[in-house]
Amino acid sequence: MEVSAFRGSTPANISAPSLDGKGGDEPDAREHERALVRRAQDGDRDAFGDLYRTHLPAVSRLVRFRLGAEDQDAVSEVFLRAWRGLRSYRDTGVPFAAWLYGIARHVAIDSLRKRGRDEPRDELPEHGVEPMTAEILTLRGAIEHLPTEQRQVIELKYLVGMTNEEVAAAMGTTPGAVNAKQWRALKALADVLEERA
Amino acid sequence: MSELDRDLGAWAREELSREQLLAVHGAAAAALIAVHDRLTGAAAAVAVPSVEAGWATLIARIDAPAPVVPLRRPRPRRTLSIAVAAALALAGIAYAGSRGSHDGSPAVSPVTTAPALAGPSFGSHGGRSAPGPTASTVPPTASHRPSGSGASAHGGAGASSGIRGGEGGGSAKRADDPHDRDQGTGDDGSHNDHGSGNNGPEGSPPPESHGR
Repeated sequence: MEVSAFRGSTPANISAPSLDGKGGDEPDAREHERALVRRAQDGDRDAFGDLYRTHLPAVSRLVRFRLGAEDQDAVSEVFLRAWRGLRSYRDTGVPFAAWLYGIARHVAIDSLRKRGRDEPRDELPEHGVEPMTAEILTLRGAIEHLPTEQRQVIELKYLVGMTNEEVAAAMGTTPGAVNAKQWRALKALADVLEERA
Repeated sequence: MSELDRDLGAWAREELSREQLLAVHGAAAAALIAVHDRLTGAAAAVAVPSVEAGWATLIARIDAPAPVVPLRRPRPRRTLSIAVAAALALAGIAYAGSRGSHDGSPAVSPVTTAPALAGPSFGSHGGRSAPGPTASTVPPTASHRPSGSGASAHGGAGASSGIRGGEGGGSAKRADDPHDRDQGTGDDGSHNDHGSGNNGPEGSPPPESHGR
């Protein structure tokens, strides 16, 4: 299958030109993904494998940002829960990636809770101090200060790689409102980062 | 939507160059673009795990039986509490046993001796006899006190707890009138004093000398 069919999932598509929400959502690609989901719901593992390949980068980015470190188990857990809960998924026009995003959020929360039980929270940053990890931790800390809607817009656009239309469908709003929320969120992030600098 | 929002959208759609955007909005736009670049760079730098290895791991987890979650989690604290309580109980029993063997008397549980300390029979008539209602009305002197008086008059006979129980109760039975209804206060005739032991006619108040 064409793993690049779902444009919103690849890191390359989260560069500035892809953020306009234009041209990033081919109807064919969307229809193809719907067909894959339906087959996977019927127990077709190959179809689920294609979905896995398509969305693995986005889920990895989400988990990495949420947890502050790579966690293959958490990534695997997201897809495992997706497979087990696939029958409950209903195509209501909301992108499949948004459904995965919801699962990833819960997995990350569970993982952080478990980590909090296993080790003191103060020790978490010491696991990785490479520059990119530090940058991710800084950005994550700032994102956590955002209101829920703005945080969702940032995560869905920059980490999941959705277009404005897809984010709008996921959040039940308009692409224009998503655009406004995105820049407002970036302004708030800039303020938080400046305070912390 | 503000003019800045609109121009930022235009920049994102490549309808407006970065230079044009900065020229129009200056520092306000520069700050947003900087954060946008940081987010984009950090997201792009996240290493994507090997698809095939990850898929193989996932398939293994899918095929594995779902873990059985026990309805009750093990509770180490509860186990510890029960162990400590059991140890204390055993230690108490062992201590009581060792004290009993040192005194040369049979081992008696502290529970059986405790009521005797609080009762009016001064602990000499058997610990198991409960204090009776006549305990405070009967003079504690030997001359006025019928044999087996007080709480032990009735209960004493059955209160042979192994110490000296039954001694007073037996004498009370021997000295009492067969028609007596004094309810165990002594042999004071065939009247019913409801246990007050006044020795007068039925219904008369007890003498003041009895401590009322």
